[in-house]
Amino acid sequence: MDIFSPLKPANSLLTLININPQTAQFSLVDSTIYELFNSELYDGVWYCEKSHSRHIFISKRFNALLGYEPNRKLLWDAILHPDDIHKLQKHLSTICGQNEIGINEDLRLIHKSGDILWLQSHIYFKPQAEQDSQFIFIAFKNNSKKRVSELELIHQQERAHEILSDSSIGTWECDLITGESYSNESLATIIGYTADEMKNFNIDTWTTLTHPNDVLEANQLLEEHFRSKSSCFNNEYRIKHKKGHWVWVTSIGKVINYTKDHQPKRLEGILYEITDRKNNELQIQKYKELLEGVNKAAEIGVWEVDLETDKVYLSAEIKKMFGVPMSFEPTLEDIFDFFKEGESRQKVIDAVQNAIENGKNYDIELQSITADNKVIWTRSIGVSEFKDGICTRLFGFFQNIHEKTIASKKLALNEELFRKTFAHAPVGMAIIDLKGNISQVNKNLCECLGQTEKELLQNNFNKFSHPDDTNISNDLVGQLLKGKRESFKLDKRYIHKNGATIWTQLSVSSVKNELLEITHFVVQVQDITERKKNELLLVNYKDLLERSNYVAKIGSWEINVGDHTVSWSKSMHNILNTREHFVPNFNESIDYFTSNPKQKELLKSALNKSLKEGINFDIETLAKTYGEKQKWVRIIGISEFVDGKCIRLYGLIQDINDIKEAQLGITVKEEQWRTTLSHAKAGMALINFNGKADNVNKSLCDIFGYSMQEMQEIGIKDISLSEDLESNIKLMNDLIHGQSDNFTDDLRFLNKNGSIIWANVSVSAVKNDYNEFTHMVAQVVDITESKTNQLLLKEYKESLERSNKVAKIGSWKMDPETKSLNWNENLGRLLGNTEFIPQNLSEFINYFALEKNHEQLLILVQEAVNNGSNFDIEIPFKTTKGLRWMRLLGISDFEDGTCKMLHGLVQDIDDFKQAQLEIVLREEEFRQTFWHAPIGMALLDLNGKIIKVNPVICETFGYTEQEMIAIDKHVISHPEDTELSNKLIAEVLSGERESFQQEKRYFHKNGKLIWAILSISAVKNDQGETTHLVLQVSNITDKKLLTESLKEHNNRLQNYAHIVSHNLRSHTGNLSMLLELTEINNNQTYDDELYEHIKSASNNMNETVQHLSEIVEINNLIKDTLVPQNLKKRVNKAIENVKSTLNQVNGEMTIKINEEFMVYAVPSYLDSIVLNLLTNAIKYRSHHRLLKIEIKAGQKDGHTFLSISDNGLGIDLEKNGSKIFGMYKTFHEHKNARGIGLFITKNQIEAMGGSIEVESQLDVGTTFTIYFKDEKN
Amino acid sequence: MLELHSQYILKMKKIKTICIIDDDPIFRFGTKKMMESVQNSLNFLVYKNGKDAFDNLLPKLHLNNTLPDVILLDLNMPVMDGWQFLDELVKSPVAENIPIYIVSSSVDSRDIKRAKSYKMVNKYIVKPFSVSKVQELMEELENRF
Repeated sequence: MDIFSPLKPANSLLTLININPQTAQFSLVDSTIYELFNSELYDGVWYCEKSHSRHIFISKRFNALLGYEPNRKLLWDAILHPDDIHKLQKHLSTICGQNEIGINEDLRLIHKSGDILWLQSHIYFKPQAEQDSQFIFIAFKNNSKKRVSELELIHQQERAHEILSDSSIGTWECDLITGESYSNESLATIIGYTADEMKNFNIDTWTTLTHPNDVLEANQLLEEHFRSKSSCFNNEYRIKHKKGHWVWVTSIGKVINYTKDHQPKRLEGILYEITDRKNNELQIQKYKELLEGVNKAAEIGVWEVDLETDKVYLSAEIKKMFGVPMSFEPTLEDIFDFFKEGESRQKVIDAVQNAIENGKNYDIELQSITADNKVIWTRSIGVSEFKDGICTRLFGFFQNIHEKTIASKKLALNEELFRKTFAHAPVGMAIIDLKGNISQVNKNLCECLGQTEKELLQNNFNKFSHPDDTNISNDLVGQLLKGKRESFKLDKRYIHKNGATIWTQLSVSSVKNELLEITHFVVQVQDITERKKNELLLVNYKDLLERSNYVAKIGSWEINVGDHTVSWSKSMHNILNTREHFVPNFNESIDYFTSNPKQKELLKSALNKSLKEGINFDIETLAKTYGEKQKWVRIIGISEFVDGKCIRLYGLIQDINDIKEAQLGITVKEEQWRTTLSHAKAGMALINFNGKADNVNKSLCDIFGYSMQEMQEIGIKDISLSEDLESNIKLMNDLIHGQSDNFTDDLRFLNKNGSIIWANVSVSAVKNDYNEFTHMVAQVVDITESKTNQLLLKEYKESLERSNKVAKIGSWKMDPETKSLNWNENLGRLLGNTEFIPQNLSEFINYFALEKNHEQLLILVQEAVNNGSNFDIEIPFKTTKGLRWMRLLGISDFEDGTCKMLHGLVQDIDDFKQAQLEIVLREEEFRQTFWHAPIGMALLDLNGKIIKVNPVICETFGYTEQEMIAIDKHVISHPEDTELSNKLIAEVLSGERESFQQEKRYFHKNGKLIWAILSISAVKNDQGETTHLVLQVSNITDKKLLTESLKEHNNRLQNYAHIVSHNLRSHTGNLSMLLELTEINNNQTYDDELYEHIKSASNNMNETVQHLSEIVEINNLIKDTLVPQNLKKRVNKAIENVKSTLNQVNGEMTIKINEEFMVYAVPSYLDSIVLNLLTNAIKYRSHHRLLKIEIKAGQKDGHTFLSISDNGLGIDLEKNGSKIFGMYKTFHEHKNARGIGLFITKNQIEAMGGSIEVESQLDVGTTFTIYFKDEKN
Repeated sequence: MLELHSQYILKMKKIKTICIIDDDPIFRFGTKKMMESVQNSLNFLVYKNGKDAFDNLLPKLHLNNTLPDVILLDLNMPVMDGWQFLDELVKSPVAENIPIYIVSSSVDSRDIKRAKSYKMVNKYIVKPFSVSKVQELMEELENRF
C-alpha cells in the first residue's frame, strides 16, 4: 500500500514487509534509528523512506506485540483498526512539507487473538535536503491498560450522571463562605422551580423555604456534622413547594472543603422527595390511635412490629392486659416472654416465624402471663405485610378471652339500675363510707341541705347534723356495723346552708360486698321540716315560755304601754348576755337592740307605729350585747290593739347571728366564684338579657380570639356562623323565657380570625328568688381538636374494617327510633351472607337467630333502648357455614334518658365456644363412665391419695365410699405386691410411662384375698402436666382361681401319665428280659408255640408302652428348647434315610426349598416328621403309577410352611377327615400300618408351636402341609 | 464269640464286683443272670433300695478296699430313691472313682437331664435290660481303665 496516499482505499493486498534491519539497506539511516529498532524503549518501531513508501521496515518487537512470528509479513487490514486506518493516513498525508514534524496519536491495533491494543504512536518526520533520504519514523508504545481504565472511568461518570439526571434525586452544592448555592434540575423539579429560577438561590433562600418547625433541627444536625466531622449528615425536613405546599425531603450531604483555618467551606449532597413515605408514616400513626380507641370497646389490643427498624408497638390495651407500665417498650423477644413458657411460647414463635418467612397470617389462642404472674387465655392474631417479597411489618391483635362471668354482667346491670334510682330519687340520697365521708349524693339531697354536690363530697355527713342531734344515730350506726341490723330509720335534724334547721326522716342501710363485709352505707334523707314544724307548733303553741325554751335562742319582751316599762324573759338575758336580773328601761332596751343610730331610728319608728297604729313589725338588727359584742337579732313586735288603742306591745327576739353569718358566707362564696370565673380553664361568661356578656374570663377570650373588652361588646351573632345563628338565638331565648333551665351541646362558632371552632357549651339560667331570669352562666370548652379527631376517625374506618375482618369482628348499629339496622360488610362475611342485608332488627333476628333465642334478644335490645343498658352475650347464629357461636355486644348510646343509637360488635367465637362445649361434654362423658363403669375406678391425686371412687370399687373391696376415700392403701394391698406398684406409680408420675397394668393381690374388708388387674394411667392437662391419676381395678379372683385349679389338674394328669408309663415299662421290661433269659437258658423251648405267643404279646406290650411314653414326652417339651434350623438341610438329611427305599420303587422326588429358610424346631422332631411323612408317601403309593413326591417350602401369612405331596392312594377325607391324626387310625390295608405315625407327627408339630393340614383325594394323592412357629413369636 | 471275648480279656481289666441297687426282684434276678451269661465268676452286691445300700454299702466302702467296679442304680425306689442315694454318695470321697450307671424304666427327659448333672453318673440306660445292652456295658467298663 501506498500509505502516504490518503485517498486510496485500503485494499486487502496491502502489505508490510518485515525485514531484519541488519540485512536491510539502511542507506540513510543513522545508527540512532538502528538502535531504536532493537531497543526496548518502544514496543515497536516502523521506519520507511519516503521515496520507497511501499517498503516499511518493522521491528521484531512490533510483531511480538501483536502476537505474530518475527518475520511474518503483516497486512494493514489485519492489524489496524478500521476506524484508525484513515486517521493514520491523514496524518501521513500531511507530512509532505519541509518541516520537521512530530505527531502523537493513539491508534488501535488488532492483536492476532482479535483483542484490540491501544498504542501510543509517535510519528516523526524529518525533512532532508535530498528527497530520497527523507524518512518517516513511527514508534509505538503499548498504552492499552491505561486507556481501558480511562475509558471505564469516563463511562462510569457518564452513567452516574445519567442516573442522577434521569432519577428524581437532586444534587446540590453550596459555599458556606459566600452563601452561593448550586443545584441541579431534579432538585428544582422536586420543589416546583425551574433550574433558571434557582440560579439566584443562596443559603438564606433555602433557610426561608425550610419549614419553620424543621429549621432548628436542621441547623443542629449541620452543626453536629461540622463539629464531629462525621462522614455525612442525613436530615428529613419539609421544604415549601413553589405552589405553597410542603414537600418532605431527605437531604444527605457533607463538607467537601475546608478553609485554611479549618472552617467548613463547601457543602455538597443529594436531596430527594419522601413526601409519600412521610405521609404514610403519619397516617399509620393516626390509624394506630384510632384502632386503640375502638378496640378498647371490644377489649382488643393492637400490636405492631416494624421489621425494618425492629420497633415494637403495643397499644395501651395490651399493656393493660399484661399489667406492664405504659412506658414499657419491648423488643420482639420481650413479647415472647408474655407467653407461658413451653407449648404456648413455642407456638407463637413458630407462628411469627411462619408469618415473617411465608406471609402466613395466624390466629391462635395461647396462654399468656401477666406481670403479676397470672395466667390468662389470650387470642393472638398476626398479619404480615409484604413488600417486594420481604416481610416488612407484622401487626395484629391481642384479645383477652378469659371468660367473662355472668355475675359481672349482672352486677353492671344492677349498678346501672341503682345509679338511675339514685339520681332520680325524690328523696335526698347519699352514699357514705363507714366513717361518714360522702362519696356520692343526688340532686335532691343537695337541694335539701342547700349545698352544692361538690361541697357535700368534701365533707363528712355528720358535719351537717344539728349540733344537738349529732350523736343520736351513733348507737344505731354501731349496730349496723356489727351486723345486728341492716338498716334503721329515725328523725334527725340537719342544718341548711342558710342556717335553718331541717327536720328529716333519716334512713340508713348498709351495703355488703360478696364477702358480706359492709363497704358503705346508703343514706336517704326526707325533708320533713314542714311536718315537723307543724308538730312543734302544735306542741308549743300552748305556752310561749315553753316554746321559747325549746327554740332556745328566742327571748320575749313586753313593753307596758302605760309607763313604758320593759320586762324581759330569761332567754333575753342569754341572747344579749346581760345579767339575769337586769331590767332595762325603754331607752336602754332600744340601745341594746340596736348598735347604730340608723337602726335605732328604724326600730323607734317601728315601735311608734306599733304603739300608735297597731302595726306589727319584724326587723333584723345588729344588737349590742353586754360586753359590746355585736350580734344579729331578729326583732318581732306585736301590738295588741283594742278599740283603736294599743294596750300591750310584746314581741320576740331571735338570735339570728348564725343565719346572718351564713348569709354573709354566701357573699364570700360569690366572691370566690368570681375568682374562679376569671381563672377557670374553661371559658366562662355571665350573659345578660341582651345576650351581651357582663363578665367573661380570659379562657373564653382565648377561645374566641377576642380581647376582654371586645368580648363584652360583641353579641351572639358575632360568634355564630350565619347558618347557626337562628338556632343559637332560639336556645338563648328559651333560657331567658324560662322554657328551659339549661342546655349543653357541642356547637360551632367563629373565631375572630374566621376559623371555625367547636365548643362544648353549657349554659344555665340564673334566677332570683322570684324565679325571674337574671342572667345566664355559660361555660365553654374548646373541643375543636377532638372534633377534628372524630372526623379522622371516620376517615380510618376503612382500615379498621380490614383489621376487624382478620379478627373476625363485625360491627352493626341500630337506630332505635326507626329500628333500621346498619351493618358493615364484614359482619355479612362473618355470618356467611354478603347478599342478604336485613333492614331492621326483627328481620335480622328471624333470619339469623334460633327461634328459642328470639325473645331473649328482643328483651336485651329493648332494655338497651329503654334503660341504656349494654349487653354482651354468647349466642349461636345460623350462618351459611352452619350454626356458629357468636359474641354479640351491644352498646347503648344513652343520653338524657333516651337511646340515641344502639351499636355493637359481633365476634365469631365458634371455635372457642365449641372447645368449651366439648370440654363440658367430655366431663359429662367421664362422669357417666366413672359412675357406671363395670369395673372399679378411682381418681388419685399426685400423692396417690384417693379423691373419688365409683360404686364398683367400693363393692370390690367391701368398704363404703367414705371408708374407701380415707383408706390406707397398705390395708388393702398384699404386702408382696406393693413394692412393684410403688415403683410403677413413681414411673408414671415422673413421666417415664403413661400407664401400667399389674396383676395384684388385695384384701377384701372381710379378709379374703382378691386377685385383680390394677391399671393406672396419668391424666394430663393441655400443658402435658400430669394433674391426677385414674385407677382402674378389675376383679379377676374367679378367673385366677380357675386357672390355678386348671394348672393343678394338668400337673396331676401329667404325673399320672408318667407313673402309668413308668410302671408299665418296668413290668413289660421285666417280661421281655425274662423271655430273653429263658431263650438263653432253654434253647429248645423257643419253637414251642405257646412261647412264641407270649413273646409276641410281650413285644406288642413294649411297643404300646413305647408310644405312650413318646406321647407323654412330647407334651412335656417346653417351647423354649426350639432352635433355628435350616429347613433345606434338615429335609435333605431326612431324605437320606428313605433314598434306598425310594430307589427300590423307582420313585421320583423333587425338592423346592429356598436355601435361606430358617425355622424354629426341635431337630430330632423335624427329622422324625419329615421321615414319617415320606415313609407314608412310599408306603401308601399307588401301584398303578410311578410314585412322584414333591417337597416345597414357602411363606404364607408370615409363617413358613413345608408341604409334602404325593400321587399315592389318597385318603377319603369326607369319611376319615376327623380321625386322620387320631391314635391307632389306619386307612389302608398295609402290613406296617400301625396308626400311630400321624398321631405322633401332629403331636410333635404342635409341641413345636406349629400346625399341620392335609388335602387329599382318593386315588389322586395327598398333600401334607406343616406350618412352623413364627420366628418372632 | 468266646474267642472274641478272651482276646479282650487279655488286654483289659477284669470286672469282678458289680453292685445292683433296685427294688425290683425280677430285675435283680434277670440282671445277675444276664451278666453271668456274659462273664463268669462275678461278685454281686445287691441292695433292695437306696437306704439298704446307704446303710450297708457305704460302711463297706470305708472299711475295705474291695470296691465295686460299677454301681447299677435304679431311680424309683421306696424308702430312699436313687436321687437321694446319689446325693449321699456325693458326700463320700471313697466313692469318687466308682462309675455309676442309672438303669431306670423312666424315659422322662427331665430325669435324663437331671442324671447328667451328676459328675459320677456315667450313663443312663433305659430298661428293659437285654443281653446286648449288658455286653455293651461290660465292654465299656473294661475299656475304662
